[in-house]
Amino acid sequence: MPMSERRGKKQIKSWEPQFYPGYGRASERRRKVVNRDRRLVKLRNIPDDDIVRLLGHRAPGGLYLSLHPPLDELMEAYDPIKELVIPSPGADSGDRMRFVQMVDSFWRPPIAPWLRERMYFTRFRGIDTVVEAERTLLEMRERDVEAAAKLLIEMEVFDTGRTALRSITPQGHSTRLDEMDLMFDARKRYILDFDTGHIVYTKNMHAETLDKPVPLGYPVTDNELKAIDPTYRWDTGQYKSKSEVLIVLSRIGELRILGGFKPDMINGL
Amino acid sequence: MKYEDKIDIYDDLGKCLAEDLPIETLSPLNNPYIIRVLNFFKSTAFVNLRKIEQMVQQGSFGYSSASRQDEISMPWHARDWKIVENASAIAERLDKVISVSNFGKKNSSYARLLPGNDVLMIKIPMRRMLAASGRDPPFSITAVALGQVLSDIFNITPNTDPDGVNIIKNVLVGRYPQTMAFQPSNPIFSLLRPSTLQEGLGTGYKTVTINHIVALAEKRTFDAVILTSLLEQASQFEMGNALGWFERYNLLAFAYQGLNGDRLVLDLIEKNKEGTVGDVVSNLIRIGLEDQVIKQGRGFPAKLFSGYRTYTANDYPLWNAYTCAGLLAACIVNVGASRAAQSVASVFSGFSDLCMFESGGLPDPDCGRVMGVGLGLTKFSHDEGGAGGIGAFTLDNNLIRHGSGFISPCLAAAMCLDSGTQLFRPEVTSGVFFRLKEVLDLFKDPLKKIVAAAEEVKAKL
Repeated sequence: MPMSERRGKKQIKSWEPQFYPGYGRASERRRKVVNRDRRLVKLRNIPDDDIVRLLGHRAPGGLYLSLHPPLDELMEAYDPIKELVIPSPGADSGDRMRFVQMVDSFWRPPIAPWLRERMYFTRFRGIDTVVEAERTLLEMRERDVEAAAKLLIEMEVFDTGRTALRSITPQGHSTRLDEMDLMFDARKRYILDFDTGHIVYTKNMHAETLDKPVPLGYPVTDNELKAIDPTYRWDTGQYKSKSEVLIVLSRIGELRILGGFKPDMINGL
Repeated sequence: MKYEDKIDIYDDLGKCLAEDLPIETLSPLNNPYIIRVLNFFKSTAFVNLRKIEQMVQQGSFGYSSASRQDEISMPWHARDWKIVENASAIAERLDKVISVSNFGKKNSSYARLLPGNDVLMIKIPMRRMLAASGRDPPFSITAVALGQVLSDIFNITPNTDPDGVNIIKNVLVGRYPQTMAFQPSNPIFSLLRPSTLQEGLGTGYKTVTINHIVALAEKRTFDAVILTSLLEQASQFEMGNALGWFERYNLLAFAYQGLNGDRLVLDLIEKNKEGTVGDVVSNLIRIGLEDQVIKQGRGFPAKLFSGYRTYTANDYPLWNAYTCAGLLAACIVNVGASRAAQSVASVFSGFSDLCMFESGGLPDPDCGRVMGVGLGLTKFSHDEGGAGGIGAFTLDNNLIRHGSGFISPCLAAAMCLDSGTQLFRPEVTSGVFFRLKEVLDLFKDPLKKIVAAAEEVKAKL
């Protein structure tokens, strides 16, 4: 009997993937962001053209430049796998590879870079991402990256004060907040508009001045940020409360070392 | 037989090729087809005659890098030797120089022209390889033999053309032996790099460029995966990395990841053809539980207070093989969606990260080595220290060499799925090897041949 049929027969029921250990606010938050079945809350509504302007890869309303002909017209060697996996809309039309880079502050961010990577991998297809201390790069085909950026900016994982779009000079995540309680930016891409109370981007991701500023709405208040902060801190979720995470992390570390030394050593552990 | 494990092998169309094959028949030590492929890799050299003619006619020899081929240009030393025109004569004479006495058996031909009549493929006789201490004859024998043949055909001797003698040497071997090896893009080349550039014991088969393998597989994903895994595992066996404790570990992962064992890779791809890397991880854990490779624990400490459960694997090498297969499937799903090879690097870290938390603290593929490679590879292929396209990497590139041979198959698969976004495309770097398939059927349907060879030796083991 073919393996796929055999697998179908003895399906296990009532099993759901577990994403992260621990109880409490931070762990719950980490589980929610990673789980694709749980919807993120939409906080703001940004027009598509403003997203394009913020990314600065093409003029709003401009054509998508292409790297190669659309896949339908491309002559390729026969390969069943290429026909099996469904390409993303951007790949289908041969778009260029473009990127969006997000920076998250140390001070109660709605999401952190390492969690961003996990979120990207569970929520997006066809991505290339790099995580560093402060920044998370996301590379995709052009129209895919615009769709992804719209989602990332509109949803609850973006706070105008503690998260920013920066491609060059992304530093500033660990310095003190500025006098407006915003994450420090050496390029001054965004300012707080005193009349409306909104954060307004006067420059795009590459720190080029925009013709028309893009307002992204109110920064989330400190109390609300406390509720969605996925990190452990002395004044909210304390070190003790992550004991369960530490149990699992030390288990992973131990099994990696033993298994890497002699694979049979961790049988049944 | 040392190990009891048996496996079903499926091809990329989902057809079962063999049932209950002992994993030891797939070992590079036992499988005759794998040995044949390895012998081809180490005993074959190629000569680009058109390049030689161009160098001679422009007087540019002795350059030092692949990108600066016009670094040295001496038109006053140019010669008008018609090398491509005389290709068949060169092949004929070369054959005579290289051949060895065969003790009454029929001599086969060792030098043959590839379609296009400008590239020579030279297979060094087995007797020369056996008498050698290593795998250098394809370079040394070919270079010296070709020098003698050119000298004969165009009458270049110290009496007739003293400078020409030096020119021949410089065209064929560059600045070697002042340099460690021949220059980059030397007209005499092989699938493997010269042993003088090899950086460790037993890493010879790892010196092949990924694009060459992709070209040999004609950009068919699973064929490229098979060839890459085969070379990687041969290298693991030679390095002593797949010995004793690790032999079963490597063989199982080779069978599941490289040869689509138990249809695991294809199953995961089919289920997630519109899915994400995270979906592949969840599906993999489900399959692991269904196949009873891993099981959920009960009671503290296996069940923690939040309801999170740690899992245990009664046979960790088998679970490792499952995760390696999952890794390949995740890479194919992610790269297949973007159709851009660069998307493969971050899957190594992303898949491992999700996998170890979802599987309740069991180690990620290859006990964290894949994660380590992923972190370095993403970092150095994106920032200002850019390492170039993954297609131009050799398997022993310092970014990807640390695993037990389960990383480069994913990179080869990514290069096959790429639709033209890379700077170093296989068509650009390895055009010659696309032509190889027209004269040689060694690399056609490799999976069928591996299985047939395994069936052959099954009874003898």
